[in-house]
Amino acid sequence: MLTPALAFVAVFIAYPLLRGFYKSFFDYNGGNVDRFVGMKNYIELFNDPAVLPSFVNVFWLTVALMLNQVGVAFIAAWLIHHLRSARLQYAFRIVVMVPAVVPTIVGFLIWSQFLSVDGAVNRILGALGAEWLIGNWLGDPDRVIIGLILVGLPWLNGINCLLFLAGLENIPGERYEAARLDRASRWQILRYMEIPAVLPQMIVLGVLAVVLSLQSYENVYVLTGGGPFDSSNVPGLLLFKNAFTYGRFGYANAIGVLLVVVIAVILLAGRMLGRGGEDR
Amino acid sequence: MHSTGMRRRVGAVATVSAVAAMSLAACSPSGEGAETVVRIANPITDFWGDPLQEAAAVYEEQNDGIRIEIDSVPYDSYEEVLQTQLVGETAADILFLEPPAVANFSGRDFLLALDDELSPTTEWGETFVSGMLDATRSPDGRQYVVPWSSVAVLIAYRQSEFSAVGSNEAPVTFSEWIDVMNRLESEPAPLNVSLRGDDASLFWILTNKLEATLRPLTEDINLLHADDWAYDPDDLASTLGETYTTDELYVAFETGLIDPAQSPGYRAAVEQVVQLSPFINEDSATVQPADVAQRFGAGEIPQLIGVGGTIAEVGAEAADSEDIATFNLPTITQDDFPGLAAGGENPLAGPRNGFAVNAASEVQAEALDFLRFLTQPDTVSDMYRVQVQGDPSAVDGVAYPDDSVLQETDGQEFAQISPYGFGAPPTFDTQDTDEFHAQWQSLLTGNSSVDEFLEDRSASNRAALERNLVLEEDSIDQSFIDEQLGQ
Repeated sequence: MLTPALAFVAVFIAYPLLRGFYKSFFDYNGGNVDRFVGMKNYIELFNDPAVLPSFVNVFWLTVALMLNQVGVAFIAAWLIHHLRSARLQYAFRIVVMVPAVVPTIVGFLIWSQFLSVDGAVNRILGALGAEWLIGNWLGDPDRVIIGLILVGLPWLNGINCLLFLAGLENIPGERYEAARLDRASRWQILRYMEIPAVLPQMIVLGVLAVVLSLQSYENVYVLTGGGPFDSSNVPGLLLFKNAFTYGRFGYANAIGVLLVVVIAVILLAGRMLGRGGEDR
Repeated sequence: MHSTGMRRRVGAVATVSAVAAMSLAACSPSGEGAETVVRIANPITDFWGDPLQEAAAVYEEQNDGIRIEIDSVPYDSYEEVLQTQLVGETAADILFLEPPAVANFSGRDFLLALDDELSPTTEWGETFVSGMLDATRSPDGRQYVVPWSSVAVLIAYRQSEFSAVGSNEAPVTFSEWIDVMNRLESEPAPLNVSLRGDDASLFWILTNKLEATLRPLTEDINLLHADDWAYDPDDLASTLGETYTTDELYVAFETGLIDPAQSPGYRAAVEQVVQLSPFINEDSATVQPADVAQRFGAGEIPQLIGVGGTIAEVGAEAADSEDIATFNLPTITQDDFPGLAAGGENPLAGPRNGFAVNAASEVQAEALDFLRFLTQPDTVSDMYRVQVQGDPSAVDGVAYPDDSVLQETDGQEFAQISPYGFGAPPTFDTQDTDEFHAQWQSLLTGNSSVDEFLEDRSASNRAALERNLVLEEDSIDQSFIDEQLGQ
């Protein structure tokens, strides 16, 4: 039974991974240059002035993504869970899924208009009297990362919200009853009952958000192309450019290997954190 | 039970295999009675999509058993898509290419060299406008491209707005243009451009100036020339058969002739373009090229830099189209740079483009035959009638439609060999081009100085030339380099 699945993993996941690692020691352009260069790509990688800023950028984007994938989704789920009307609960479950039906790229293109100099974001800021905040969100190197973080406001991930909601609804009603009898405050219920109930989801979704953020570059590619003047580059985009624009597949593979290592470390950390949570 | 299941599985595998085999046989060009398919990859669908379809239909009528299939690929991601297909050996047989892609792909042996078919002395070679073959030669000195058109870069403007500020005639020199812009209303910015990497409107201005300021160095750069060669900037034929090869460019760079950090001509060109900064729109780093064109079409801005095709299209759709006229990119003069000893800017120094044949194609002969048909003057003339075009053909003797903007476009005035491929931005490979865009954005938005820009350009150019030396090591004359650099 497992053989087809293992074969699939071997052909489409393990082989490309191993071949990518192997090719990271080559100067390979997909055409007439394919020579072993040892650690040259890795030495270049650690001396490339574009690499460190790209990791700094992705760090901030990852922090923001984690907060919205876990924090905003949990808050929304918690609010829906505590609605008294079952009909309203049902309606909000549908509403939170609406953004998920908008294709991602379409969403990015809409946000590129919102964030333009005369776009909705600046107009709203103007209407609110915050003229000092008005600016070129995607064209100013000092604020382009903030502009990228703003994309998708209010950042509600419907699927994550429903997962948290499922976790909250698994809490037996008797426990809420007991908490009320014990005169537990709403904060205490949240802190000692509800958050522990969804902690496994929080850890999994948090780790997935980190992995997703480190791998992804499509938001940056569509909205800024890494600009202005390379100020919004992320590792995924550097990998893409080196492979598919510059034809430097060997170097791109070295970037890929570095990303795999970083992601593996984060996954391990997440796993250890998860175990710690289970032990408690 | 077990054996029945086994028999069913074997039967299923056999059926699938038979269907697959039949499907593959039906697709095979070598099957009896099967047609040969020649695939063309075309990213310029808005201008050349319909004309190409019509030309292909005519060719198929004249050639039984040949089918021309046109793969339309979005322009924005064309080079990435093509590169992926070339590496995976699934690319089309004929590829429409612009300069950076030709250098990128020819250096990696993805393109078929056409020197035998397309030298200026062959029958096919004589089909093209004089000098076009040499102008589209790659840095390794070989011909990979069947020239298709010269991209005319023009400035469209509203005559009434220029007249209102006392400029009744279009500016010819750069100083005159700056003078007009000083008098034009400052809101909105008198010069709207898109400085995103995918827009060429402003870097063509730099490339044009560099062609002019570096032209006096032609003989000093083109050291590996024919024995009896002599350069005359006023004789367009004097560059025939000559090209700058990577080893010559590397020597010219290392000796400072074309090094941005050392060349006075390079600095003069950059310092002139930087004068445009105060007139550029605030959102230049983020606005899309199409939005800038739309602003001009809607009358929001007084002028638009663009390729002839875009200008023709926007001009025709504008409500005040009679008010719109065009002028060539304003030239640098000897007053601006005393070293300008071999003529000013060539109006048509914009990029040339063309078709190349995939070196891995199995139908190269058929692909070349179709390209011969496509570059006949009658075929090209018919294609220009299908749709309004803004770029003049590379084919000699084409009859343009009467209402074509091309009637107003001047030709090349001064003979030149381009140091930068054939009309690309001033770069030597795709990575260099990418780095250029970032440095260019930074310079024109006031985030870096001219000195920083020139230093950055110098580093990027050197790295690109060194990459090219590796790519073209089979054709590089190392003894020439060593001798020139005294090593």
